[in-house]
Amino acid sequence: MKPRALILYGYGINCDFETQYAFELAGAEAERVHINELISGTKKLENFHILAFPGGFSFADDIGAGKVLANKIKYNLSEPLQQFIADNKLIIGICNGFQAMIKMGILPGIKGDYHSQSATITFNDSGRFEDRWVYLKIEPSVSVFTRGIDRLYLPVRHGEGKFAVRDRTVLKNLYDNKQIALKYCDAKGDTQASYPWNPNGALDSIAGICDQTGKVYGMMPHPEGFLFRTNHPRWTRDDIPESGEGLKIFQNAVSFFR
Amino acid sequence: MSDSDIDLKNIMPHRIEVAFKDDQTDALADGTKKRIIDDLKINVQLVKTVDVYTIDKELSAGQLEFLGNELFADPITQHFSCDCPLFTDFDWLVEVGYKPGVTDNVGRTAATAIVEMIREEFGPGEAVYTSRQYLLKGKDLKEEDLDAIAGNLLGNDMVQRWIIVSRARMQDTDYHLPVAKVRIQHTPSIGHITLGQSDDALMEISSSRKLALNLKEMQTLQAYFQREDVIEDRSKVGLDANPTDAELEVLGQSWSEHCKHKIFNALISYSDSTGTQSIESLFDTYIKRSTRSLQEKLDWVASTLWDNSGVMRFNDKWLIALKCETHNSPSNEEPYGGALTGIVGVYRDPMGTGQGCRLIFGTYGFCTGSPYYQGPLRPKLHPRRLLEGVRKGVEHGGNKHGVPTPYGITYFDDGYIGKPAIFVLAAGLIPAEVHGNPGYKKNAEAEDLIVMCGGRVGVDGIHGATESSMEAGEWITAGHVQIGDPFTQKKMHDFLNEARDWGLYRCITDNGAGGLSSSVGEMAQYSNGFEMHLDRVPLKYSGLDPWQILVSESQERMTLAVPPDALGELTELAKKHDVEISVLGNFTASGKFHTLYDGQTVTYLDMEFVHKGLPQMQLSAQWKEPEQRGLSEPVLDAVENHTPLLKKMLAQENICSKEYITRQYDHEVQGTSAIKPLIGKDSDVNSDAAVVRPVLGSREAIAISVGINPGYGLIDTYHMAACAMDEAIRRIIAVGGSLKQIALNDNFCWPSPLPTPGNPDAAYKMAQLVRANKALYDYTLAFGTPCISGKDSMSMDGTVVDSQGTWNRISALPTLQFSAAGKIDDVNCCITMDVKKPGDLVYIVGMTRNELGGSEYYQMNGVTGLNIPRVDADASKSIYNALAEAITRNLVHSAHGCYRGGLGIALAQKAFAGGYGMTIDLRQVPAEGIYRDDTLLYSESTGRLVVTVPPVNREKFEDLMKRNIYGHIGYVTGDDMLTVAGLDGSTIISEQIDSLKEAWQETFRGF
Repeated sequence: MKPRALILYGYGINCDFETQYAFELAGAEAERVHINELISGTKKLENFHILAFPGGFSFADDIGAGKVLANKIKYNLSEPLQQFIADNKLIIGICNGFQAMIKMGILPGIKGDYHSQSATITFNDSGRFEDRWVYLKIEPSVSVFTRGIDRLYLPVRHGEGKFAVRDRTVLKNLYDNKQIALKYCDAKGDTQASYPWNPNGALDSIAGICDQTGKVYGMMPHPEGFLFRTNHPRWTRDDIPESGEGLKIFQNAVSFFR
Repeated sequence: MSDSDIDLKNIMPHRIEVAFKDDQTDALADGTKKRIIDDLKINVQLVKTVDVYTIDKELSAGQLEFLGNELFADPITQHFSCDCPLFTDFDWLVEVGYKPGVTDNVGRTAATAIVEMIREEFGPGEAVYTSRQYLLKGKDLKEEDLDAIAGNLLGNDMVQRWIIVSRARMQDTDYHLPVAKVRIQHTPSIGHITLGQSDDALMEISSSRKLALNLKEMQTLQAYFQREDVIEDRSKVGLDANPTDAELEVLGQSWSEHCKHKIFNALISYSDSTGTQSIESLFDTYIKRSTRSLQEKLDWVASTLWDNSGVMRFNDKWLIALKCETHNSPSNEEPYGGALTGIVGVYRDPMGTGQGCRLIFGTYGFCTGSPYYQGPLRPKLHPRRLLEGVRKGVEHGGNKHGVPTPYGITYFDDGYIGKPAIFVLAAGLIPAEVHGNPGYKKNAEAEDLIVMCGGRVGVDGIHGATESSMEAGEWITAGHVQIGDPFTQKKMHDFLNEARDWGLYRCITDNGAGGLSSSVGEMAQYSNGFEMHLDRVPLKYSGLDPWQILVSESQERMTLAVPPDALGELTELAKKHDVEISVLGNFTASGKFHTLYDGQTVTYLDMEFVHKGLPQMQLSAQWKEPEQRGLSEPVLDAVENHTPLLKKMLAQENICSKEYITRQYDHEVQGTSAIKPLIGKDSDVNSDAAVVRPVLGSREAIAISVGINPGYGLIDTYHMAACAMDEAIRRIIAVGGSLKQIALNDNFCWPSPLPTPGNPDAAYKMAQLVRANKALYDYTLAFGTPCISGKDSMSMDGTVVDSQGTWNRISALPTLQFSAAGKIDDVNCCITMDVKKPGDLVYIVGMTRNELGGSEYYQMNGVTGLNIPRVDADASKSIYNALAEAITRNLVHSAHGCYRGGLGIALAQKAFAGGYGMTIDLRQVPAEGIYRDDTLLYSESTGRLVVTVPPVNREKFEDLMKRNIYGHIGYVTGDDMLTVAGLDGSTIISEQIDSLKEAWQETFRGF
C-alpha cells in the first residue's frame, strides 16, 4: 500500500512542492491540500496517513513564527487533528511547520497532552535569519522519522529557530521519554559546539523533537532541502551519494505503513 | 458609517504591550544597543524593546487578556500587559510606528487572527496598528541624543513617526503614539481642468499636478482636447473641451519617462571626433535591432521586448520569464520599503508575462555609497543605514514569498550618495503550452471582464511613475514610498497559478507604475478599448477621488481578462486562497479609454492617443575622448612588498566578502539549489554564478550571474558596457554554461542627460549613454547573447547637503548592469571556482594586457588611468566555447574568472576557497606589454579565467585549448601557502591562505 501524505499549503507556506516531491520519492502518494480545503470540508484529514506541515513563512511570521497558523488550525481543525493523532497516524513539521506544531501544543505532547504549549521556538541569538548547512546528531529517541539514522547534514533557513522550554521539568521529561530526536553538532559530532554549529542558540542544541509515541515529529532543519546530490553545498568537490540524506526522513515515514 | 461618525464615539483604543521576559535574549535590543554605541557614539547602558499592538476596536478586558495569552505573547519567552505600561524602569522611551496610510502588515495579520479567535469581524474604521517601544537607560542621555537615536537609527520619517518621552514626564504626558488611522474628510468628485492658452499656464498645470510633462507634451495634449471630433465624442458622455483631472493624470503617467522611456526613444544628434550622427531611438537602433536579429537565429528565444518580461525556452515543457528592474528613488527615501516593494514588484513582472509564471528565483544588486563613508556630504540616510535597509527589504520580500535569492552583487561608490541603484531581478516558469496556446502569448477580447485581484487601493503610491522620473531632493513627497506585502502577494501567486491551469483567464498583467490606468490601459490594446467602474474598486479607506483610484500604485495587485463564463469558478478559487477579487468592468472594441464613477464618466480618451500620441523628444549628445577630459596613464611607485599589497586589495570594499548579506537570504527554498552563492571547503566564498534546477527531478538547470563595472565609465562607457556584458557571460561559462544559450537583461541607471540649468554636461552624459548602447549592440551580436528584457532609470541624480550646509547636486556614475541566465543541459557537469586537489595543474586562459584603467588597483591608489580593458569578442568566444566543452567533458576541476582585482585576486580566492595552496609563476602568464608584477597581478583584462585541471586530463585539455591563448602557470599544492614567482623569477608573494582569507573577510565582519 502506498501511504497517502497530505502536504498542507496556503497562507505563505512555501516548501510545499519540494515536500510533496520528497514524499513521492520516498514512495508515498502525496497531495498538496490548501488549509481552507480542510476547513471547508472539501478535503478530509481522515483520508490521509501522514500530515506534513511544510516550511515557509505562514502569515509572514507576523507576531511570532508559526503562531497565527497554529491558531488558525487550533480554532478550526482541532477535532480532526486530535483524531488524526489518536488514530496513530504520522505528523511531521519542518521549520515553520515545526514552529506551528509547538505553538498549537501538539508537540512535545508530554503525557498525551496535545493541547498546551510547554516549549517554544524563538528568535535566533544572532537576531537574524540565516541560511547555512548544519551537522546533526541523531539522538536515541522514539521518533519514527529518525529510525536507523546516525548523522545528517541539512540546511537551516530561519530567523526563529531557538528551541526553549517552559521549565526544567519539561526538559527532563523530554530526555526521560526519549523525545529529543536530533541535536546540532560540529563536524566531529560534538553537540556542545556553539555558533555557528548550533545556529540559533537552541537549548541543549536541540534541533528536533517528537511526542512520546514518536509519531508526531518536528525539526528546524530542512530534510526536503537535501534530496539530491546537487543540493549538497560541496558536491562539486566531495564524493556525495546520488540520493540526498534528507530523503531518509521521508522514507522512514513511508516504511512505517509497510 | 463615515470615519467622522466613528470619531464621535470616541473609543479609546486598547494597547497590548509584549516583551521578552528578563531571562530571555532580546536580540533586537542587543543589536540596537550596539548600533547606538558603535555608529552614533552615544553611551547607553541598557536597551529593551516592547512590541505594541494598538487595537482600535471595542473589546472586553477578558477578551484582551485572552488575546494577550493566546496570540500576542509567547507563553514561554514573553510577557504582556493590557492597557497599561509593561515597564516603568527606564530613563527614556521612544515609540516608533507607521504614519497613517502606510501598509502595516503585522497589524493586518493581527486583525485576521483576532477575527479567527473571537469570531467578531472588524467594522469600518476598526483596525490593529503596530508600533515598537525602545526603552533606554543611560545616566548621561539627553533629549538631543534621543532625537539622534530616533531619527538616525530607529525610525524614518518618510513612513514612520515617533514620540520620545522621559521617565520623569511619563506621568504628566500622553506617552502613546496617536492611532495611525487614515481620515480623509472628503467627498469624492471629478475635477475639470481649464487648460488655458499660454505656455506658462500649461506648464503651471504640469508642475502643480506633478505630471512631469514638458511644454511640447502639454501642447500636444491641449491640441487633442480642442480637436472637433474629440469635442463631439466627449459631449456624448457629458464631457467638454477641457480634460478631467483623471485624464491629465492618465496622460501624465502614460507619457512619463518611466512608462514611455522618452530618452531611449528620442531623436539624438550624436557627435564625436569622427563627426555627427543622427540616431532615431536608441532602443530601436541598438537594443531592439540586436535582439530581433538574434531572435531570428536562436530558436530558444520565445518572446522579447514587449511583455512585462522576456521569455526563453527552458525545455519542451517549460519557458522561463526573466526581468530585472530597479527601485532607486523609493529606496533612496525609505530603503527597506523601497527595496521590499522593488523585489515584490519585480516578481509581478514574470507573474504577469504571457499566461503567468511560478517564480523560481530572484537576485539583487545594491550600488550605494561606501558604508564607511566619512566625507563632507550629509545624506539623510548614511549609506551604511541605506545598505542595511535595502538588504533587509530584499530579505523579507524573497524569504516571505518563498522565492530563493541565490545571487546578487554590491558596488560601492560615493556617487550613489545622491541616489543609489537598487536592482531586483525575478524569474519564473511558464508552461510552454497553456490550453493549446503558447504560454508566452496573451490576449484580451471584447466582453472579457476586467478583474482586479490582490491588495486594496489607497493613496499610497500615487505618482510613482512620474516621481521616479524626477531628481531626488527634499521636495519629493512620500506618496510613492510604500511598504510591500509579500504575504498578500504569495497568496495571490498561488491562486493565479491554479487559475491559469484551470483556464480561468485569457490575459494577465501586473499593476505596477501607473496602477489600473496603466495595467488596464495596456491590456485593452488587444481589444482596443475598455469600460471600467472606479466605484467598484475595493479601497483601504474611503475618501479617494476617482483619479486617485485610477492611478494609485498600491501594491500586490494584478489585473486579469476573464471570459464571463469563467467568473464563477474564479470566484470560488479566490475564496479558497483567501484572495480578494473584484470585477471592475469589461474590455470593449470601442477604441476608448473609458472610466466611470457612480455612472458619471471620469475619462473618455482615444486609446490611440493615450498610447501613441506622445511627441518624440530631441536630444544632443557630445562625446569627449578620455584624453580630452585630461585622463592619462599614471606611473605608480614600484611595489616593495607584494604580500601586504595583495591583502590590502582583498580587503577593498568592492572585492571583499559580503557573506553576511548572502547568508540572510534563503537561497535554497524550493529545493532547486545546485550551485550555491557561497561555496568551497567552508562554504563561504562567492561562486562565479549560482545554478538552480527549477524542475525537480530534471537534470536541466539555469545559471545566473551579473556583470557590472561602473568605475570603467569614468574612461569610456562603450568599453564599460562591453566589459560588464563579458563579465556576466564569463561567470556563466565558469560554472559550466555555454554560449549556446545565454539570455541577457540590460539595466541602465544613468544620471539625467536632459539639458536643464543644473545639468551643464547633459550632452556628455547622453553621449555616454549612446556609447554604452553601441557596445550593447556590437557585443550582443558578437557573443550571440540577446537582451530579452531590460529597463532604464534615467535620473540617477540627487541633491545632498554637506557639512557646511551647502546643497550639492550629486550624479551617480553611469551604471549598466547585465544580468545573465544561461541554460545548463546537465547539472551534473557544473563546477565551482575552488581548487579541488593537490597536484592539479593551474592554467590561465585568455590574454593579460596592460589594462589597469578604471581598475580597483588604480582606484586604491587614487587614480583613474586611461588603459581601460577592452573585449576581444572573437578571442573570448573561442576560449569560452573550448572551455565549455572541456567542462562538459569533465576535464576541469575548477574555473574562476579574473574580474575586479584581476589575476591576483582570482588566485587568492581560488586557493582559500579550496583550502589548498598554489605555486604560481607569473612568467608563464600570456601577456602583452606588461613589464611589472603589479600590472600583471591586477590588470583587469577581460576574457580570462583561471582553471585547474587534474594531471591525467592535461593532454585532452591542452588539445581542446590549442587554438587559444592559455598558459600553464603553476600547481595546486598540498600545503596552505600561496606562492607567486614574479617576472624576474624571485618569490614575490608567499603567504598562508588563511591569512589571505582573513584579510578578505575582515572588512564587513561587524555588519
